[in-house]
Amino acid sequence: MTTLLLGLGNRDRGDDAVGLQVGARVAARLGLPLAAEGVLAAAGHTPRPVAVATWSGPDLDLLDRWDGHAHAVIVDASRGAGPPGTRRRVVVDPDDVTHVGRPTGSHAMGLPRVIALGHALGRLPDRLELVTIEAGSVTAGTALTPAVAVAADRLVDDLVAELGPLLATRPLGEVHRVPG
Amino acid sequence: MSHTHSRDIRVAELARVEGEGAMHVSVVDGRVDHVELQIYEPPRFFEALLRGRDFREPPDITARICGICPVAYQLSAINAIESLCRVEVPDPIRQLRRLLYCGEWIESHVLHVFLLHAPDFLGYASALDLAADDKALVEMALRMRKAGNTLLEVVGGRAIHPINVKVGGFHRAPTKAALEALVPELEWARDAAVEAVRLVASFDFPDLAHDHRYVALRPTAEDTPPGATGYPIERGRLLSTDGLDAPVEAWPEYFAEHQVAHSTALHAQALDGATYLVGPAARFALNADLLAPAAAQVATEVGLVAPDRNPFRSIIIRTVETVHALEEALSLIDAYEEPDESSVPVEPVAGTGHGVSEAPRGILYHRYTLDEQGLITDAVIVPPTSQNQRAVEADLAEFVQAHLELDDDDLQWRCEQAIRNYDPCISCSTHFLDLTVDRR
Repeated sequence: MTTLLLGLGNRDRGDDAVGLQVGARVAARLGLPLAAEGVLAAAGHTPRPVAVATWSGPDLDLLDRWDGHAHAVIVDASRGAGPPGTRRRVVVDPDDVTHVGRPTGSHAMGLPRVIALGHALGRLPDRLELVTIEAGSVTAGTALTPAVAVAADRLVDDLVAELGPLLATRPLGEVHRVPG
Repeated sequence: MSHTHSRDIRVAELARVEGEGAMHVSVVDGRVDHVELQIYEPPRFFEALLRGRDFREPPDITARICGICPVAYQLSAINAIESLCRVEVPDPIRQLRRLLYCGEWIESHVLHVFLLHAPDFLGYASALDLAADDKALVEMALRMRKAGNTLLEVVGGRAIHPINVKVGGFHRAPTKAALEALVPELEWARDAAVEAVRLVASFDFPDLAHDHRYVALRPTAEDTPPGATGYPIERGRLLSTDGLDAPVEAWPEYFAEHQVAHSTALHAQALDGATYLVGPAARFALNADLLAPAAAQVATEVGLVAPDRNPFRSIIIRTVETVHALEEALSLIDAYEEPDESSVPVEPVAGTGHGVSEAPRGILYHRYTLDEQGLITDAVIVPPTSQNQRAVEADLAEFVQAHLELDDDDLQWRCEQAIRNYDPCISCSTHFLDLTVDRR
């Protein structure tokens, strides 16, 4: 089983960058290559039990980003889920993704529609989790707001503690040798 | 005493188009009074942003105008600046530029044809509903689109807002081996696209025929690098179905933009008052003889004849162009020889340069004026959606007039489908849709 940590957002829109920053920092802390912006830095690397990626492109491309992973944890900024910095974590039930709304342009397909499309196509990880941090400001050209920066620090620590032990398991593809 | 019968249909957010906008149709006493395509995305001021910037910056800055067609912005900007600076790049760089642009055509056309437009013809509200019933079709589309994206990544550095493109060439030229590795998937995609042409040609098309002036590029032999066909993509002369044949520098003599109250996008107009149209239908009308063999063959097989005047059939042309882009990409990869240098030096020249290329949606015009230090003192960018707005409104007026018997829901559905015929990119042009039909 491989786990993908996938940070989403826009690096130039204030707190919307939190998913990208968390992804990059977790990769650095775990010593893992970061597959960022569609440039697959991991290409040629030995598959590991944990992969970290960030993505700022079209939502539709998320289907390709989580392809081949049994477990994906998506980190993104949220709006309307409490005070800035509020963290929520849910296991996505694709049968319960109902707020897909009216179809709009591909510029803004939206995560719920991509999850619903992935479900229709059988292209979802077996387990899909969504971690959100409530944004305070998404003003262009600004840094993370203080409450979101603190929440990001804590989330990085928690994800490193959660994912690090998975790396200690044997590399994928390694032949298990029976002693003697 | 007179009685006025009015009808009011409103679509507040146009679906399955790139960007945000609305439409308002007013019908008075059984006649369409007016149609307004209302683009309300805020203006993005890119032209003002470019003033004072270095002449090497427009490819990276203007690529940010659109996530779907950034290569078009990069290449039109480069064409304008290199033309002014009297730079000619060697064949491998020209091949790579065209190859990169093929990737964008594949990605953009497949996205529009299968995920945004085909659901209209197949009776689905969205690609999501289509996927529930025809998983194989949507999977095929996603795989084809990925072939285009991979091409963009290998040549452009990444699929969205490529970073490897510069005035004078590329930061790094891909190896022949890296391109050849793409061949099997491009061959699969080409064959899949041929089948897709047969599928979309079998759709039921509403009757509508317009007589707009078609304007497209037509490359000369000098515009065409080895391995390429002459079908217009990254450069060419301005051509129209009624006799225009002019160099790019003559664009301001034939076309101009003006402001309209109902749109944050400027409307482009032919200076003689004619309504004109750019995009796949125009390209095909003026360049069908230049299609790659497999694209030409399947176009003939499904009965596509230039010029095709039914805008609903543009989905067929767009799919034929996908075949073309895939076949052309394969040909360019075969002909490619790695250059010794990935770029040529460019020195600024004071003056004004004009550049065009064929974005997936049609001609994209850029004009830059540089001072002696190479700083931009004026910039003009005219995207295809701005040029097509008038033609779209004219087609909608005619279509609504002919289908007033439809109830408001059906009429709205058909109007949105009609708008999607043009694959409008509202984000580009404001730099679209809420439909209102007002029957009085």
